[in-house]
Amino acid sequence: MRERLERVVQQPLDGSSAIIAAAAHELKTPLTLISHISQMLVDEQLGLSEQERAKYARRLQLVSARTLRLVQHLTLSYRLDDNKQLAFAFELEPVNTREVCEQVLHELTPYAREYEQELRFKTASRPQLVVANRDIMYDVVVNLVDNAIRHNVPGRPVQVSALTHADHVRVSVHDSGNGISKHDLNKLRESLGREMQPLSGHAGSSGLGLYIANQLASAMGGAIGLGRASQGTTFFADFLRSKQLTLW
Amino acid sequence: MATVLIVEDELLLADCYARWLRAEGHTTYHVTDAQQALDMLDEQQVNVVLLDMLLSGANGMQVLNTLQSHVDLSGLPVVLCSNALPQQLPDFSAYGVKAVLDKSVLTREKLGIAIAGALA
Repeated sequence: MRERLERVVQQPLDGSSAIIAAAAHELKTPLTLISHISQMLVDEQLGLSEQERAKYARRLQLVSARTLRLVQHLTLSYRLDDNKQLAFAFELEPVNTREVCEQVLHELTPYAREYEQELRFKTASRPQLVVANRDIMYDVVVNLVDNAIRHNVPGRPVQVSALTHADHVRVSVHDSGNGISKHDLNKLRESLGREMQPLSGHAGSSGLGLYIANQLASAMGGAIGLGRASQGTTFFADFLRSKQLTLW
Repeated sequence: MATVLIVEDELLLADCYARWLRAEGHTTYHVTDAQQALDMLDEQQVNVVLLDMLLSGANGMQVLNTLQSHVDLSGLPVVLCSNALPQQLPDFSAYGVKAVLDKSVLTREKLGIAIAGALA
């Protein structure tokens, strides 16, 4: 039995097993937080004030929401990874990039504040329409912004921008964290989205979030990538530009 | 009672450990990276270090190596916290590590026992 177990442990992980291992790793951190905060809330010996209890309850809510987002993204990833696109059958339509980005920033601002961060958004005043599924596009942008919040330096803003190019609109998300070593940067550019690549300087990162973001963006004809940054890291997502005229 | 230096870059976890340890009567300091840890150890008298294995910038192993190479700090007891299973981690005993704790199942009681054991 023991030998059999050791053989199983030593086997290299295939694609789906690697995703399960990365998912377990990524879920462990927020679940640990939920467990610890819950313990604090019921521990009368800690003498928490009502104000402190309210603060921890709010954090519990934010961490739970983030964990649920991760589970939702894993479900989407499974459907796409297993060639179940037909069952997935999402509809593409003209989507206003600005609206999606503003919604993401609105929803993640309380989470960013817990990390003493501000989310900033810069875009053109005219609408930037892309061909996408609004919900999936939201998930891609949420993924990139959530990743940036976790790796940014407290006190510095996470900067989100949307710029129109010839055939696509690029949503870029910049954090001022430790950045990625040149060696890892090149490796990551080659493998981004095709395999999970843990990032140096990004503690606890399995690369799962970027893998899923690329899967979702690719399903809509887009892609994610890694931009140039003198300090920190910039990831971007490209979405196909819609040629449809708008009345907005 | 002892003075514990918490080296943890997840602020919520650090806050939790500090509250748990203070409830046991310990004094705590908190830093988020290796360099801050070394600066704090230069400034303050610390009896034990509670060290996260995965830190942004430098990991726990680098902190352990630095502590080992520092003459005045090489005997400082360390309690490691990790999200990896203890059996997946190498043997840290040569680095002054007194206990390795699995973060996901950590409780106030387990942390208190580990710190008391490290100080014994």
